[in-house]
Amino acid sequence: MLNKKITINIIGLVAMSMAFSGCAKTALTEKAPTADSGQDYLVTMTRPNNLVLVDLETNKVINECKIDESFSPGGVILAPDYKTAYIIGGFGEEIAGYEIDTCKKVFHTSLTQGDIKGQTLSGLAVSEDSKKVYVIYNRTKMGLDRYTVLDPMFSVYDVKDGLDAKEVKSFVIPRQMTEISTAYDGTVFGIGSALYEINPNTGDIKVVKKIVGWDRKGYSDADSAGNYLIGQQQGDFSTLYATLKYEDPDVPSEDGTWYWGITSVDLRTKEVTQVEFTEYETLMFTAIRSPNDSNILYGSLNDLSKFDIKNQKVLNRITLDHTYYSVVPSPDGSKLYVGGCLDDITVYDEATFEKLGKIHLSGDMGAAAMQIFHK
Amino acid sequence: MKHLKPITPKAELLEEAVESGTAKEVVAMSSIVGCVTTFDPGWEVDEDGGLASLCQPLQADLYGCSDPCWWPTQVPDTSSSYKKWADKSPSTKDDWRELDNVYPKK
Repeated sequence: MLNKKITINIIGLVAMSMAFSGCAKTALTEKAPTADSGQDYLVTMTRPNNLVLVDLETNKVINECKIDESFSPGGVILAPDYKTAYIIGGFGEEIAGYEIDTCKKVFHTSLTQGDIKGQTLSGLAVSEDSKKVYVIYNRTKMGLDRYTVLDPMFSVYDVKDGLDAKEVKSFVIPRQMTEISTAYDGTVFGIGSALYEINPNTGDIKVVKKIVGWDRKGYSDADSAGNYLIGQQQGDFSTLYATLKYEDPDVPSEDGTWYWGITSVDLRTKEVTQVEFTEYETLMFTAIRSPNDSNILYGSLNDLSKFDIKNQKVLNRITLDHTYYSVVPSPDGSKLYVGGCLDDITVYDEATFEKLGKIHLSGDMGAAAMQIFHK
Repeated sequence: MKHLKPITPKAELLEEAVESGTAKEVVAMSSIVGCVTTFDPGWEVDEDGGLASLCQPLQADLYGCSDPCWWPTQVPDTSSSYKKWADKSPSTKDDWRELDNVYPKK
């Protein structure tokens, strides 16, 4: 899924069961290691049906849970208590939760109910107390001779409802919202054709920043695609957009300069940023800000780039071994992990972009996200 | 629209809607899930007519494209019609020969 300007201009916007737990742990070691205290770990998904826990001291996979759900599209989000990973599976129709140390399945719900098909690509978040699961999804009534598009929904689930969870609250959301994330005070932010602030308790939704239809003098309409569940542990919720700055601000035309920008929320403070940070030189799929310096941004696809946002400068850039959809910094900001696409994750030194190592996985990540945390 | 020629029935309907002034009744789906919701035309060249911005190698982009059916003319709609398409290929670079071929249903 690429080809940015075409995407921009044409589309718009743009995851062996066991009898007891519903999943099994691959015997990677005699004694199953767990995410003990004092170091960094990474959680992701790989094909055909693996939830993977990686020890970032050794860069080795230490746990591989076999999930019941079909891998697709590979969405995964880690609860803030770092115990349970929630996945989007079953071709976007199922949400499930698995304990990353034990592989025990602790949560499941189906977005499809009866003849109403529910699907989500990356609309998954967990509340800050790890007790609620939030999902945004599209609904289609599957008739005998027609499909009827229904309103998209935001649904809230109680984790304690377990393997047969039903929504405890639902409300209609605006169309074209693709991704959500939870700020540290419990507020939910959603992004798509705009950045929205959502109160999951009351269902109140307000636009925080316009994206499509921002009506900004001298610039073309912005477009963005929020599809990657990264940044929760780093306190960042950033989505790229591209815009054409017209040569003559009073005359909209195809003459001008393309820029990359971010629409971003600091999940710790709820500070919102929407700003261009570089000319459109290379294609990127994801961007994330440093946990140490919110003015530093990293982006990846075929290159790994480091940007100074305020000064619109490229501080470093290297060509990657192959395409990686996303980059995520370590919790202390000293390392960068690039992953997605194929069956490996490469580790880079944040300061020098020196390659430090490679994590080998048993299957492709596809569009799966990386959740990196310190425990 | 004068430079575009519709080649599918849906595109013809859109053209008719433009001509009759009812284009605003054509509403996009709410997200990119499934092959009927994206309109990217092809995989062969990048936005500048070159290859630099294409994913490398091609296999790297295969599941990222097929899961949301981003390139509807090149990849099967795994979300709806061909769910087992990639079951034998956990690694595209190693197992791409095991991907099923997909043909239109008769």
